[in-house]
Amino acid sequence: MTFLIISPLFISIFFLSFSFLLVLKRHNQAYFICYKTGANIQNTLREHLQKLTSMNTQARILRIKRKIAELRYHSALASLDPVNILQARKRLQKVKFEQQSFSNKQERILKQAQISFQTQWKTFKLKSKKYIYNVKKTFHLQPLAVRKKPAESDSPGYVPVEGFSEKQKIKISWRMNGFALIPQKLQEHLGLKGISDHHCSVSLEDLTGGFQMKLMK
Amino acid sequence: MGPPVNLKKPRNNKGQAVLELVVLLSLYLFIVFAVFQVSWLLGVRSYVNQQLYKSLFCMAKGYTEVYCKKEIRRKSSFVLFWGEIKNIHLKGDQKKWTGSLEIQPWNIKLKRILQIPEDLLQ
Repeated sequence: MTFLIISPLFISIFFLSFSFLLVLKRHNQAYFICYKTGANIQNTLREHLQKLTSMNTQARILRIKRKIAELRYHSALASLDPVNILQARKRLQKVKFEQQSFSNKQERILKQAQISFQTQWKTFKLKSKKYIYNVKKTFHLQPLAVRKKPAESDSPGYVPVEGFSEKQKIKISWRMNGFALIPQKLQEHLGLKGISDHHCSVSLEDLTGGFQMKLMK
Repeated sequence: MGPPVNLKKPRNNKGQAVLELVVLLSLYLFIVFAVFQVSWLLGVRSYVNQQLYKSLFCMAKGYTEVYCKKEIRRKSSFVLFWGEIKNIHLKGDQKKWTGSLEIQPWNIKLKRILQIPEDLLQ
């Protein structure tokens, strides 16, 4: 009889203690998932960023070519020789076309970065649904914190903005319910409040050897 | 002649049930607590291990060693009701961080390594 009385008590203590441990472990797991997601997103963005910045030399060459073509065109105009003017104009148009297609390539990389960022984010949101909710992301205006230099050129170079790490940072925030094992209605009935807010941030660092991943505070 | 009469005094069984209960209950409690403690310890070990790994993230984020050690102790105290964390060592540079600690009095030694970005990329 005594065993019948104390056994449920022990089972309840067992259940409660291990649920508590499970909740704490889930909190940690959510952090690791967050960092992994942030790191994977930044790693993809890093590849795009490296591709984009590696095009800067070619962009500069095109700008110089354009300047020369423009100078030649102006001197041809001054010479008043129609053949010379026609040739110079053709050369200038060719360079302009090259610049345009080059700029399109750069734009495509920026767009690809945006798409891969969105895709990875959606996958993460779907995967994390089981553990956490109210997942949000905050980042600078665009996935790659770069600016055109010179801004008005047809084939600009792309350089990291001022305070790059802070602006490239992706901050993922989420909510966790400490009483997730207890049904929602029962939680409300008992007035349990186990909701807590968490976040993690991952960014990139502009080093001489390229872009490196960095965990942020 | 009627049946033979047993002249022996009947045995006193009054305390037997109490004695059996005490023996069985103590055995039951011993087994229950042993199972509980072993499984709890396994759970605590796993949690502290995660906490140690988390402290490496703390270091990687640029917090001081003192702060990260304090965090392990604080978070582990939620589950370590009897026992304590000792000999915490955290060190690392820009890419690799290592951490170790001991859970006393069970003498459980844990060690974790964090490499960025290798450990974070799938």
